[in-house]
Amino acid sequence: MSMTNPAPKKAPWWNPAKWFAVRREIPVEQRSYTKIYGILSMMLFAFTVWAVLNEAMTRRPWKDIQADFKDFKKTRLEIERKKEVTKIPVDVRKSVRKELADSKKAMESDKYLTIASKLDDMDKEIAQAQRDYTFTKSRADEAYYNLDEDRIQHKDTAGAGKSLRALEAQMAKEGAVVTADTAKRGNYFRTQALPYQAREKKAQGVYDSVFAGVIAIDRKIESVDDMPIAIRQTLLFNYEQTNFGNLKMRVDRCETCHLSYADPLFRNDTLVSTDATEIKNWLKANKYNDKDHYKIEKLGVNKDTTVAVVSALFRIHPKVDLYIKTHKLGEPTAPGVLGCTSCHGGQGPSIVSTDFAHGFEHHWEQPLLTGHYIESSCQNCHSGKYDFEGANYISQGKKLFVGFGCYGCHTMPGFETTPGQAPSLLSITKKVTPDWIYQWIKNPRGWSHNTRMPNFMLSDPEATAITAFIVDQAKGSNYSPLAHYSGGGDIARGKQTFFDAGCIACHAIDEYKSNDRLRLKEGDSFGPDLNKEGSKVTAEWVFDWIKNPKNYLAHSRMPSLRLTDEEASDLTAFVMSHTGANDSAKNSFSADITDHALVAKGEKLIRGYGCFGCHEIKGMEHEAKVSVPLSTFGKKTPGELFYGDLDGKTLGGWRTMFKKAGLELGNVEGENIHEDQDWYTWTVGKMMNSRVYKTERIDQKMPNFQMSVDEAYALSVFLRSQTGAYIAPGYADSKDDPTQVALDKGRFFVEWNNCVGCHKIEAGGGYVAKFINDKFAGDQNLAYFAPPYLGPEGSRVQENWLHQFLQGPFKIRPLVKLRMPSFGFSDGDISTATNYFLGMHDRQFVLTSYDYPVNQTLVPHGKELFDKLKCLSCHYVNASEESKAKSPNLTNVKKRIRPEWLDVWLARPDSIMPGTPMTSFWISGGKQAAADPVILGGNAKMQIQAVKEYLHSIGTDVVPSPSPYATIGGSPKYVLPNGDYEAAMARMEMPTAESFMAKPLAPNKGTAGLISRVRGRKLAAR
Amino acid sequence: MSEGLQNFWLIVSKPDNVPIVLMIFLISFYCWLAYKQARRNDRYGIEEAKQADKVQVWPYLVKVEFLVTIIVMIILTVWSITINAPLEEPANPTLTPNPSKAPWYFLGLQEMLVYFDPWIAGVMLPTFIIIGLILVPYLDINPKGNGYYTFKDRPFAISIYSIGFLILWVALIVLGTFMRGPGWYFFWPWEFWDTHRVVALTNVDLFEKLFNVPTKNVDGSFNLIQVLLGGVLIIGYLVVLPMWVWKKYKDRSLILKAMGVWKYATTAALFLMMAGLPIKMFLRLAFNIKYVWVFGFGHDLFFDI
Repeated sequence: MSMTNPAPKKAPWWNPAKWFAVRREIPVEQRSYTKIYGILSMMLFAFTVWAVLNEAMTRRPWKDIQADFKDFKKTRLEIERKKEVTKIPVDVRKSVRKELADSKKAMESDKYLTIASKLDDMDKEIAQAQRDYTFTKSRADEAYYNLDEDRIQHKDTAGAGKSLRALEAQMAKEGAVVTADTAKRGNYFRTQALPYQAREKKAQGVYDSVFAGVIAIDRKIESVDDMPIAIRQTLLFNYEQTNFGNLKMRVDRCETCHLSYADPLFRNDTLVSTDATEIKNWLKANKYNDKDHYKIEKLGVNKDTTVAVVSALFRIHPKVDLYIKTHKLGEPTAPGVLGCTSCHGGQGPSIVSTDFAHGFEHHWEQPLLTGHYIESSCQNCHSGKYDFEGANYISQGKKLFVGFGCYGCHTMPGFETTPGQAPSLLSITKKVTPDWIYQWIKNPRGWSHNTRMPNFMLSDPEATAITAFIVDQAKGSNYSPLAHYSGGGDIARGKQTFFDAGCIACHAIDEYKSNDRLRLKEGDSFGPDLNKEGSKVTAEWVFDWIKNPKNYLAHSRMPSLRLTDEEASDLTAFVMSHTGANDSAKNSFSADITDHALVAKGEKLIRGYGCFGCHEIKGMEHEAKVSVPLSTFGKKTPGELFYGDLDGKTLGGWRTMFKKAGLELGNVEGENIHEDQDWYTWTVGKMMNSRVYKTERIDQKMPNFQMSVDEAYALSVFLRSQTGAYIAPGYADSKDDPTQVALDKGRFFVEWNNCVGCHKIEAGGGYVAKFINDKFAGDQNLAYFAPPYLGPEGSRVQENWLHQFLQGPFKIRPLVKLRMPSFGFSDGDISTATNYFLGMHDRQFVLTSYDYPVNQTLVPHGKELFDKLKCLSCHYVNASEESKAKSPNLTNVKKRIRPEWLDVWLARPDSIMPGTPMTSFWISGGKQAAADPVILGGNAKMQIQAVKEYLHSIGTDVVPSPSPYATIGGSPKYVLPNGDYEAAMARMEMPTAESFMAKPLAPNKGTAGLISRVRGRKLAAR
Repeated sequence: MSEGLQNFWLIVSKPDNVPIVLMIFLISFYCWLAYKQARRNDRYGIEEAKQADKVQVWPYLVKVEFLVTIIVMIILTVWSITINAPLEEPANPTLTPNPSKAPWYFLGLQEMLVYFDPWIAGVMLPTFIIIGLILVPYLDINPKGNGYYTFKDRPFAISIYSIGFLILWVALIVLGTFMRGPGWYFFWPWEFWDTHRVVALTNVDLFEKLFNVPTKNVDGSFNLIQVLLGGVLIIGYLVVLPMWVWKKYKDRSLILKAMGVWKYATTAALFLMMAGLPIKMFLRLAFNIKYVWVFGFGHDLFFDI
């Protein structure tokens, strides 16, 4: 650009308007663009640099995090190193180090150096001699070739022969020199150098073994240095489905920042304290120096409690064994590895910023789950489970869902064919009076404080009409009592029977209280509270009911306890002595309930409210569910939920209320939330008061379950899990795997029949133990021994025995008072239970012969041990001793216990069933040891084997027959769920395993390793 | 700031809407520039404009164009650094977003759906827009206004542009972006986009409103009186009106004479169809008129105008 402007005015750059004005006066041809080009090019360059930096650094915050982590991990390792060093006694440390140093020093002494240089010289000499020899050999080879050629061509071979011989002679001479030199060097080395080297090697060996721990840590420190700053990810191939149904991979890069999640070097640290110095010292001691390492929160009314929470970037995952190992985390290529977002939610692939990675962006559909809502993820894969270890809220929520009978009105996957939760009303008038029905439906909790029956908020006319219809539909009932109460019975004895027979496992009465809540804690209610039962039903009905529940309700879950007439009379008297005040509504009830118009009105109301969802009502057996499906409820957006007239104050108030109760509602950060209208507030609000969103215009029919805060929260955790998400088999429990199906069916079965009320089976159950322990704390009275843990059942008993037992339980421990009830299970029920027990051990039902070939040579030794160990001080073998025995009849072992179980059990009973009265004879100091030092040479394994052989040798071939369901009028009654006693009688002859054994069968699956599928650890000691 | 305004700011500041906000300013600026020049040219004559200095394209124009290239690159670089790509949820065939919006440049068309049935608003009118734009060079017989801005010499063309493009296209895009919320309801900037909003729906067809003539009979067939009245009205608007104008003004107007009957007829048809949109909008907004003429043959061919 030529700068030939005649009068170049200075354009003021700080005033653009003026600058342009001045510039415009310059003729176009003479305007200079140099500066503008310069400035703009520099800007473009600068912004390009910015773009590169932005890409490489600003959008890679994890690089800093990884660098920080490396520093901190080294700090941690240094601490560990120090600890490891101090473990070694000071004098040992000193002497080992000194010896090593000395030995090394000796290697540098003049004397050794002289030896070394001499060795070097000798080596050189040997090398020289070796070379001479090799060269001569090479020449000899050539000479031999020449000789050979001459010979073939029939030339004169004398000259060639002569030179070859000469060379051979030279070779021999030189070879001897090499050998002599080598021997000389070897000798010199052994006598002079080796002692030095051996000393150093030994000192190094001692050092390495004494300082092994320290060296290992040093190596770890080195590997931290070598750790590359890189993205770390877990790939879940074919994990889920896109919205269009194609299988899709999921990528989790969470461990790019959360590097410590499975590193045992880190702890799950939190410190709560009122003392600021304590917090300070604790942080210092753990080297949490950086503000990025921890977060300080003030709690309490006066903010005087301080909590120091270590950042999730420097913390190990809680319960690593349970959550990480069983889900194969840390094995990025393992099949079925679950990654992080499968449970936690969040945007797995994103590593740009915390908010993006955690999915706190309203377009991301699965943001990080917070509070206990993370438990809702368990359900995604384990849809058939009820007790989740370490996840109480989803377990409780799911049980509440079943317990409250939610599936009666709402369609829910997995509960399509589940029978109604509540009793049948077909014979209701034979049990209670119309005015009782009236007061009950008006306000169920007015009668029973913790009933599961919800309140429909009925008006008086509505309740009258419904009562009229219920009475009307029960007209056709053909119930009549089979057992008749003849009066009498002792109340005090009845109370004892109530405890002894195990009624307390399901029902609350007097001091055997259930909590107000449904199965949120051990001992919460399953069956109705009986404290006012005397005012509700008649003694005649109670007597027949407890003697023979299936007479009144063919499908009742109430079992028969095989009560004698005396026991039943006592119990009836006891229960009937519990009367209570009626609701005022009862007295005000007066209507002609036979009026047809009223009955018709009642029917219409019942159809509207959907009472048949839970109760069996005549004429309404095949109704559709009255309310909306819940299968995708968990992913509803606020726009799809109706908040009625409620404003942010009320909704936000609930959020605060739950927070105060220690139950944090889910995080809605990044969402577009208006007036606190989010999924969580809606759901808990609805649970606490189902009609809270009712408006002047919008009526709501859902009855009020009056849930507590805990209940509402637990149920909302379960509902959150209902996202309809598909997770591929191999990750989720497969519905095609027969073992899994058996487990799922069984889990529901044991919940539904309240087996878990008495027995601990998987993670939960055994709630009755609480009462027994309360009453007999510290008492070794075996009459009140808690029902057994059924986890090992599938590996323990023979299927045939189990079948007989479940059909009609017989006594196993004669002295124990609590009795296994007769549920009147059908063959289908029994196979559900059997397959469930087997499924827990990854077995399937296969017809098997348990014939055990007894090794007769071991039997006498077994007998000797049997006597010496005094087995008969608890067990018995003669029926006549039954009345005194605490423990099972050992002649039944043969037909009851799987042979391969017996030695496992004898070897370590206590570790299989904690708290069992069986003595661990072959365990001493936590290790296997002989029970007797002499017998069989003190070989523990042989001794166990011998006892096993003996027990089989004394076994009987008889499986006890099932006991009758009930005894009425002195005659035994058997039952099938359809109440057809005679048909059941005909079927009582259960074929034994032998009768199936016409042809040989495949050996049972999985008898070699007793790996419990459920508890994930080996039961076997072998 | 009220919740409504916060909500409005959220929408305005969304990365997706950057082009629309930009468009408001850019179009305003260039229109202002053009009108300003047009006014000057109209006032002082085009001779002055024509006499302005002229320089060679190379290097003087190219030089400036290179500068602009650099500036645009700077803007794009900064834009792409500071604003993340506006990604949304994965597409879900079972879940329609609410409000469900077309790409921003089609929001004007989507707005028309409020006033006409989809067959008219989505197929017929867009087709005529394209045909009309293709025909413009053939219909425009005005030789003036080449290479300079003027209003005086092209009042009709510029008015059509101002109404047809600035109002019926750009303004409707802006409206569709910022003021159509859930349920495609109209929200003022200070109103929160409430998903549960209820708006009374009281629209009736024209002749029901005027003469209480129902659109359809009780049995579902078309009411002949309505079909007749609507037909008369629509044909009167599209055919009789331009014919009357032609009859009355063809001798007096030089322009009409110069155009000839076919060009006139085509221009008039296109113009009246364009004008139909604001007329219908006015009828709907002021009088709750749903349709003027409802008529059809079977399920496939029908006119809900």
